[in-house]
Amino acid sequence: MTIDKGSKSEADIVASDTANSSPAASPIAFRLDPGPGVPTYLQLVHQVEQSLRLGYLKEGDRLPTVKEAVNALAINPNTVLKAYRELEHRGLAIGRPGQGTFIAGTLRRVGLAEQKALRKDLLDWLRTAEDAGLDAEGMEALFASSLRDFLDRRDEKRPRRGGRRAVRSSRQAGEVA
Amino acid sequence: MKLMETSGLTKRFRRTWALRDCTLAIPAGHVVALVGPNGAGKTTLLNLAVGLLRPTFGRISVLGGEKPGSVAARRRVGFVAQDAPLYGHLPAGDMLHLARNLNLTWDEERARDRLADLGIPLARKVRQLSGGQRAQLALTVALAKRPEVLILDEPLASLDPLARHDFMGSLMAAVAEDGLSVVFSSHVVSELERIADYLVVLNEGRLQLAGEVDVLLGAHHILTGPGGEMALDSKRIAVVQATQAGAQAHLLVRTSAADQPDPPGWLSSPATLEDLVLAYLRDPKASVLPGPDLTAAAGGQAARA
Amino acid sequence: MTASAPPAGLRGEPLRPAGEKSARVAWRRLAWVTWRQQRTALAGLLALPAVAAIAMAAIAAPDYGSSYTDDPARVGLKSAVVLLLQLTPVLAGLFIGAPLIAREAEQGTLRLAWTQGADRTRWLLCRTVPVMVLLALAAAGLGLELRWWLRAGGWAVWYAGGQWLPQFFSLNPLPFAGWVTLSVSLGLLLGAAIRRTVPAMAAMLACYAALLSATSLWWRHGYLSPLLRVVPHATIVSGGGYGYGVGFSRGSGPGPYILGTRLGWPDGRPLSASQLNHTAAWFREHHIAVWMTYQPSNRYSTFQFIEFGWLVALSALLVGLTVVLISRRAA
Repeated sequence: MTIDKGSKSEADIVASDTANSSPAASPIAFRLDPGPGVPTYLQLVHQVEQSLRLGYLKEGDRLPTVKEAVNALAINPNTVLKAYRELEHRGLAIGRPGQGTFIAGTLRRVGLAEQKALRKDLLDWLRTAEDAGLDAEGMEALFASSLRDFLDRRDEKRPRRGGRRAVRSSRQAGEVA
Repeated sequence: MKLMETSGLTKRFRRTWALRDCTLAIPAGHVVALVGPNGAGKTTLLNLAVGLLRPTFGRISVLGGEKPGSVAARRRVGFVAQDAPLYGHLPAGDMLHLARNLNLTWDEERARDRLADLGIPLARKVRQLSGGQRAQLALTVALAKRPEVLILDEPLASLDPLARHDFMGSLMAAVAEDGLSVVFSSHVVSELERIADYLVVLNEGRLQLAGEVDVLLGAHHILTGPGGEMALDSKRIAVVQATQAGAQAHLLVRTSAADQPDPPGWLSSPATLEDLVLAYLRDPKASVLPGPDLTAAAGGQAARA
Repeated sequence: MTASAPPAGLRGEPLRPAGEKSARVAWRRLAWVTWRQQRTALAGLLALPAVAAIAMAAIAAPDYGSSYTDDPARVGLKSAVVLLLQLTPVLAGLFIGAPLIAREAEQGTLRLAWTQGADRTRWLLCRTVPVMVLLALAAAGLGLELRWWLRAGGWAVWYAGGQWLPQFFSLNPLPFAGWVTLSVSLGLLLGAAIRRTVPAMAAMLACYAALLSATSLWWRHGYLSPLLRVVPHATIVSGGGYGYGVGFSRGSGPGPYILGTRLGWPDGRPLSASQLNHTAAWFREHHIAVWMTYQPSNRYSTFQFIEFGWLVALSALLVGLTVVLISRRAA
């Protein structure tokens, strides 16, 4: 007893209709860091950004479909959707209904000279911190919390839908729900 | 539409009260984790939801008012009981055919494709399949009737880690593809965070916690600070659980007000789902039920401390 | 999922297997389920009476006259055949009736079967009624074959009232079909109530044995009120003893079923114990005769129908009770 082919996903139908055979597989595959630190959706966002930086992804490449991603990672599809929305928000990706999500932009590349200057500033800061008595982990902790504060303050100015971790700071609790 | 709605649901077996006065309203479109220690009443609740049990007191309805076990409910609800029961002496293909003959709606092609993708040979007898394969076959049977909600009773219990990952991945793919809701029970909390977006905690037959994971985690955090001096303003900060070790204490607190600077001398960090569930399970009296200040969706009961 | 439609999938409409119009699962689909699940048990069960059937077809029945003299093998064969056939209802109840629900309860597959599209009542009826009908037909056929076999062997026991013997009466086509049906439905109800296979089997065995004994020893005698008549040519001796000879030389039908004999007054009233202590002359003087209660031979067929009737009615009741039971109870 066969059911009509309409049960297959639209993407497959589109693929089989065109002469160019199946849609190209996404160049990247996600993986997750099991620790509780960074929220899952942000990990996915960062991995896409990292892939862009390193050149694994170019404009026009297709990101893994939600189905592929959750099948491989065993996570809630909402998480992937949230990540893709964030990427759209950052201007890096664009979703085409029925076809998937594609890379649309590039990261602002920081120039080599700029990177060198930033690096030098950072090393100066590290020396100062060491003189003040901070050890390696203290430096990491200080840097991490400062980065968080910086991002929080920046995000406050930019209206956005936050994930659960955005509620950590009490001021943003009202954004949830 | 409400996925599952109960009102004062109580179930008694001879002299044990498996479920007591349980009132829930789970919205559809979620992956719901039903968590609790063994004997908490999870299987009882799920069996009531599919019509295998009748309530002693109270009411339960699924999928927007359908009575569990009715024709409409049985068509729209897919169920995999604990230990993935299947007919062991049948080959997998016949098992599939048998399930098809017991159902009104059936997507044969999808079921076969799925089994082919998973590498489950149709000629092999069910009892000769591995635990993971049996679980996947049971899931395939439940999905093949294209339900709107899938109810799974401890689907991962007897699976090895690889099988567990594959099963959950497979399940999430089905959720992504069909938009179906899932209710699954588990007594292993650590794997839930990535999967569930709605949480229900049962303990000793009573409902302790119910709400969207995002909202619950947003309303709780961990305060770390000097032990001994627990002089926190208990009117504003509800402490769910406190762990003390010498000079330091960790508190899991629930904040009902949105603007709450950290108390001086205390450092706050986000709570994980595991923190939350374990803390509440340790204190059966504590409970958080959906209320106007914690969930946008459900109205009704205010949070009880 | 709540915020946006699934990106790469289609939410399918309910897909009906071709030809499925009603909101209920078709009987023929459930029939396949029954067949697939029970074909081994049925084959096993029918193997034994099949052996008996083949034996009857192949080897002639022992002749009554020669039974005890020159062919003990054939006598043994006759006993074996009768025994095998007597066992059939028992085995049917044990291996088809009792495990039907009990085994699925023990293995947990009820939780699978009762959460699909077919409702419990339909599922149960489709798994039991066709099987019972099939077994009843097989039993009736075997009963006919047995009758033919014994008659062809010239078994005079048929003509001597032996057809009324319990081991033969219940093997007539109609009663045999009835007992098989009852046995299966008994096993079914007990399996549904007890939910464990082996205790259900034991209970079924006990109940069946009790019913069969009660029927054979008491109830069958009274389907219709027995008749009372004087035994002709009886000899009564002093002290109350008597003897009589009864000849059954009519045709090929069964003889009457003699339930009991006693001495009685001409109007039929029985003699009391003290009145038995008289001389033969006294008896002759008072026209005391030997009275017998019996079922006449022309009631043989009627009794078969009566037995079939109440067995089938009871089976239907038991199946109905099972339906009620599984509708109420948990899996």
